[in-house]
Amino acid sequence: MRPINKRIRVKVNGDDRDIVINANKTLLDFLRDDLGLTGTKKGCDEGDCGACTVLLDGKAVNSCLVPAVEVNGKEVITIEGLDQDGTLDPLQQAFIDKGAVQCGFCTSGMILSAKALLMENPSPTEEEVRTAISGNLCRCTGYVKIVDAVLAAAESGRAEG
Amino acid sequence: MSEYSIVGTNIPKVDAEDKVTGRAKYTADLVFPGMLFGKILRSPHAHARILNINTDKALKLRGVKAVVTGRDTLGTTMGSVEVVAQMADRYPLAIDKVRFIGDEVAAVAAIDEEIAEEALGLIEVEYGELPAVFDPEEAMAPGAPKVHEVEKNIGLATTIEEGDVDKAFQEAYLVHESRYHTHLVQHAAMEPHAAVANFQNGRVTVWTSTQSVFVQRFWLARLLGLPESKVRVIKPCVGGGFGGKLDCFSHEFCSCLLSMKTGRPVKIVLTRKEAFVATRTRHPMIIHLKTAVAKDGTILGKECLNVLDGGAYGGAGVAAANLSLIWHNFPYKIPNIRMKALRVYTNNPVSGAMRGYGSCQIHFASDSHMDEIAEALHIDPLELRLKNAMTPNHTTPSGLEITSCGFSETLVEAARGIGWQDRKSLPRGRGVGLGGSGFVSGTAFAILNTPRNYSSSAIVKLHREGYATLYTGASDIGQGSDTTLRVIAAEELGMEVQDVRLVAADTDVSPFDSGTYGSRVTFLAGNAVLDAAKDAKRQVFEVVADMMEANPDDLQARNGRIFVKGNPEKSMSLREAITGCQGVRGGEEVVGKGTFSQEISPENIVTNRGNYAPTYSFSTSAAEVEVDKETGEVKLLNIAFAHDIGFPINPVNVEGQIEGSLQMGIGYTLTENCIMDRGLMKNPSFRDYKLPTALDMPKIGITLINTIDPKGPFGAKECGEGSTAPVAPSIANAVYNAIGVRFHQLPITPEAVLKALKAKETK
Repeated sequence: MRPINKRIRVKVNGDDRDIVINANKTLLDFLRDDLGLTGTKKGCDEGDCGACTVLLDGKAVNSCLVPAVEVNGKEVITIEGLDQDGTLDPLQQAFIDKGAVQCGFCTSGMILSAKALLMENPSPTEEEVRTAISGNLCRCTGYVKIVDAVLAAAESGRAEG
Repeated sequence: MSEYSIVGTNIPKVDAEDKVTGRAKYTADLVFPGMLFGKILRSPHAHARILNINTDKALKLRGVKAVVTGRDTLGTTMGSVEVVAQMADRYPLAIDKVRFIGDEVAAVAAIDEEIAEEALGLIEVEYGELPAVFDPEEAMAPGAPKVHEVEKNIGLATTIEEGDVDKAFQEAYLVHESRYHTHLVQHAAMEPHAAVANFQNGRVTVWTSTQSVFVQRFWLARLLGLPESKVRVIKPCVGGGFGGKLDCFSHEFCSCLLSMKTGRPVKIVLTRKEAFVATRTRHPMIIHLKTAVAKDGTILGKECLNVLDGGAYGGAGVAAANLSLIWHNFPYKIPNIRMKALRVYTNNPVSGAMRGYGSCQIHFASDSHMDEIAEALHIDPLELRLKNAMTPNHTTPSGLEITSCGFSETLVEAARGIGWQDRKSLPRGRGVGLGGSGFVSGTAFAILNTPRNYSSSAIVKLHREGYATLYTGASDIGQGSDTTLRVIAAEELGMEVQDVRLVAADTDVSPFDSGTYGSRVTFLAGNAVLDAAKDAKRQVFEVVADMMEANPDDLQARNGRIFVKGNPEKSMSLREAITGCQGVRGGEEVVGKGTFSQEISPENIVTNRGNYAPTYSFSTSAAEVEVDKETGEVKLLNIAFAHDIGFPINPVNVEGQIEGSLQMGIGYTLTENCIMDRGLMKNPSFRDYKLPTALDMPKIGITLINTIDPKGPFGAKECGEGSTAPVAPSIANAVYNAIGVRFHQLPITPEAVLKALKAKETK
């Protein structure tokens, strides 16, 4: 079975990419294998755990469920694209400060789901935060300090803005 | 000024920035030139002979570089270690038969994953199906199919008996007897298992998602027929383990074998389904309990029988049998005991070590049992527990030496936090319940390594610029040991945490450490690190004392300086001191060594007598639930948790570990369940195996009790494992308090609640 190759043009973390890929590939495998962006994780490859969450045109998606060819002409932001020239995003800083990182495997997905939330709703309630990350499974933290971190980032984002 | 500079404060984890930026490398992230991808062929049958395997077609597929089966192995078995060598019961690739659905039969290396997957479909295996057995009690019955060649499929039988239990039963005011049944659940670490092996220059280097590099090296060397010096195991970042990454796995061996055959690096990453089915699970248990109590509630004696479903093989699961008896002795004083545990083979997935190592199952049973006794005697369940609680400096009949113990304090605090005194005024359908437990802190349980090596060692090297490098074998699997150990060294040396570099979990350069299990890292590795830092410091102090014309005993290191206690003007920087020390000693490096080990003999393991750990932690969970009688849903409103931590080295990390424990305990009690159908797992995905999400967590309050352990580093004890066990009994007891239905079985799902309510009505 010969693979079908397709050319896609996509902006990833601010860089314009023009690349030929196997049309069967998921966005997740494209990011990790073709672009070497291993910060996005494969937890289940079935859309159930959220570890592969990235921003696609500003919306949080499970990249394991998105065919790579579908991102042609679009913009993707992964965890590697969050910091601004080395300065951490308030969410990243809050996760560090609040002790919200243990094994770290869910962290990329969590932060991006939270980022999508804060971009749309800069003053979420705790319930809204929990709902936004309800598709991101974590086995280490019990979510307590993750929720604290997102709320703290929202607050510091409002303070700066 | 606090006694300590850093210890006891909230310290950000040293690897947090790498993890929040995506820079941290986990095993599946590693890429090497020429790397191949491996896949494993697994048995579709629960029990079958392998009659023939033909790999010709698979080998011919373009892009396939190697195919291996049991014929390509040395025929060495893997499992537990020398102390119980008879339990090494598994070939890494099946040779004569397969024993569960998922058992490894062949492996392929190809230029990409898709081709490797396609090749699996081209391997022709002829199976001769055998009758299979899926229940441990059935497996022990006459005529049951033999999973292994052992009598009644009993892989391990173990007992403890002390005192006179029969006399206790005769003299008792009440003898209470119950049976409990716990179910199959899984670690479900977010990172699936993975390994990359590279065989070059006669040596194999393996990067693997593991809880112990030295255990992996031991088994891989044996299985490959190589001396340990030719095997190097390195642990990259690990995305959670919880006991499920402790054993040596077939995929780790296969990546090595395939690399040896192809001369190229080989990566094998398990799918989520493989992680569910073919790694490890928690032992389902059938627990028979019989307790004798006096009229005032004093426990006089306890008899129990634990039947463990071991699944198809042994491995680290073997220890669960012995440990299940140890847990029965906690957290109450029990003067007479007669206990037996049987680990039985079935054709189910393999049971192994899982957070708590049997304590979740045992405490669900025995702390539900306590509430049943309290009701029979009309005693407040809190009072009954306080009356029987273990206390400091208590030795149990089998020789467990409790030193520091804050169990009573945890009972009082948790009860207070949940509003225990006001429970009678709760509305209908709401209830509160308690659960208590005790756990080993720093278990030296040698079953997971050769008898001599149940220790941890560390090396600290001081650099003339005033920083240090810490060498340890300890494995950070997300629990934060990398941070904790650097904190301990930094505190002792008077440095900042960032000035302590870390070299960890690489068998080529790390001192020995048998791994992350039994809650031993902060205690054993922490003490070894403290010891090594003290040794390095002492060498510097001797020289500095001369230079300052002071006594070495009067010196202190803090904030990057060494000064005379009580005379802080007389000081010098660490940089000056270390350089000075090297100068005086002709350029010799300042290197400190430290070790911590626990005396435990093979006899202890076999007889279950003696002390298992240098110390023990204690916890109480108090839960408040609201049960909807229409839907059967148990809504968990609140958990008040108290944990005897000894002393929290990094309080925010301790809380985080406990919060994670609670999530696991909640899932265990209410929603998680591997649904089996004649050996086939029907729900090997997160869609159908229900982990608690951010929306499922209750309000949580945590109180830490600081008993300052005499042997713990800075008085610290464990927190990440013992805290899981009391959750299930606290919820089960709360449900009983809410709706008067007692659950002897988990999970407590809506269906189970509705069924039980209906049964209650019809009575």
